[in-house]
Amino acid sequence: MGGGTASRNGWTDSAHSPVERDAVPLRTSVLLTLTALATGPSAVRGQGVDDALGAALVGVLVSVPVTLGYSAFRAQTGDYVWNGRDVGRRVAVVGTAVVGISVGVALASGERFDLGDALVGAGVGAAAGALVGAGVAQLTSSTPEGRWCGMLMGLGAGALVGSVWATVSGSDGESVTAPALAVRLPVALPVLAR
Amino acid sequence: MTAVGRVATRHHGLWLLPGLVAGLVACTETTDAVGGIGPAGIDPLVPSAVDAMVFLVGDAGAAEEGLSPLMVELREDVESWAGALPDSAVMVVFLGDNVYESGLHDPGERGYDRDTLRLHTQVRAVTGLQASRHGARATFIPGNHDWANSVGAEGLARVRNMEGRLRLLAADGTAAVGLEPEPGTPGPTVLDVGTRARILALDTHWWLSEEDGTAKSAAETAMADAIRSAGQRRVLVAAHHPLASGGPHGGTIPFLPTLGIQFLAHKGGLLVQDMTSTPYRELIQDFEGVFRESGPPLAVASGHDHSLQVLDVPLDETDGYVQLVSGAGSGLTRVRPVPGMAWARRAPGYMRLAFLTEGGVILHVVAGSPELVYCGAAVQVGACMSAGVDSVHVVYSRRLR
Repeated sequence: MGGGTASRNGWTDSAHSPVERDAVPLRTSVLLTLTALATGPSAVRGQGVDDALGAALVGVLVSVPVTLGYSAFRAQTGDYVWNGRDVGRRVAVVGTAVVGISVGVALASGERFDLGDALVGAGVGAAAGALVGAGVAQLTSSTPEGRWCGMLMGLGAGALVGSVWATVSGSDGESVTAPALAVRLPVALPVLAR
Repeated sequence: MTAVGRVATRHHGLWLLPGLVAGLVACTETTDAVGGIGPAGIDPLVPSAVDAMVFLVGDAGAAEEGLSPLMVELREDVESWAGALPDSAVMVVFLGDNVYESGLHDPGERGYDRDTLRLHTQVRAVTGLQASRHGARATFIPGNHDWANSVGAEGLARVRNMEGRLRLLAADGTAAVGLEPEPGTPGPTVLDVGTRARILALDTHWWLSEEDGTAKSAAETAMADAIRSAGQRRVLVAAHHPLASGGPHGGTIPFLPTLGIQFLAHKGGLLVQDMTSTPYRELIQDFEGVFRESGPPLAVASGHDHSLQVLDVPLDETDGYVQLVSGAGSGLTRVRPVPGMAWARRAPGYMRLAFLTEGGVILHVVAGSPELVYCGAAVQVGACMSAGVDSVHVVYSRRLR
């Protein structure tokens, strides 16, 4: 009986090699570069460093529930957290993507970034998402863990959508970044779906 | 002093004053303790009435030679009982996480020297004069940290390193030690001790990572067969992961230290090593299914949570088993009451099961002061070690079924 050749993660011995792990920093670097390239032109539009830093801060905060929700999704597909490295890899990939999205959206909006609006949006979105996720999971899952997972996925998705929505809407409620989002989100989503 | 006499004095007059032990427990209870001394009137342990003695030590993989009072006391305890009982009647079972943080590295890798030291610290439990002369053995069961908290080739290589190292020590006559079951296999390995004890050694980390249902079914069939064929032997299932626990892996997770993140991850079953994950829940269901089919074992002995716990786990209205959590070999985590918990304490310690000639089994829990679990940070290491060894006593006893 060979342990390790058929694992719950679907890893084979070769697929769990150090080569696979080494690819993670590479992916992170590529993502950072793409994010910088995508957001660079926005700086020309007269926005300051403080806008980018504020957006990055929101991204860091939002990346916590998003990473949790992402991990919950992975657990539902049979991929659990085995160790601290798993946590680190997910934070590195998902966290970077969310920060990239946050900064990209803020700069692409062409307006001054409002930290308060973004945080409120994230909070309201997280709460609403968690409620919806819990409700859906209540109907679809027969286990307590499944219901918690549904809530976590809703929490993460809601936080991300809420913060982005608040940012792109701006204080006057106008959405100005739909074209920019259409360009930038596809950059991050493949990484999120890894 | 005779060997039997030494047992009597070094081990706290076990057949002299059970009430004294009860008083001692009352004085040393901590806020992280549940229950008391257990039923009064426990028969005193007379070596001539003991057929086999099994020591249960878990998660001792951070203990280091000269810095762990518990390991000193364990070695002396093993010496005493090895000298007092017939040959080959003493076995020490290390219940996994035998080398922190990530198992035994390859020779030449960073951490190898430290890993080896930690493993040898535990091996020393059976290298004393009496233990060697009378065939006391130590069996190491792999835990998740011995698998480097991973699956696949890397984790398996660490377990094989440990198995190889122990085989070398056994081959050169240093100690009667070995790793069970064979690396990368679930077990059970059947270990008979004396004429009354049967231990089934299992690798539950394999269970958590394996998806091959056929392989699991085969292991479960073998487990049921081993329980059914035990005859007059009482069966002890030894596996790293407990089937019930009031420790962090069972759900006792503080909210604040990680701002709720670990709490949420546990609730969502994201952490495979927690009982809320699907693989772990399946493991419990699988084992209890075997117990229903074959009849329950006397007890399941595990580590994983770093505390000492005794839990009565029902299988149905009339049957059940005792879960022993003995994972306080080198570190401590909190423990809280859960259904079925008879006794628990957050303290460094180990358990021993005396399999009596007449068929009964008596559990003793031996524990010391929580502050003296590790003397590496002490200003005066010698004083810490002395105080630590002196603090170790029998704190709970109970006749099992």
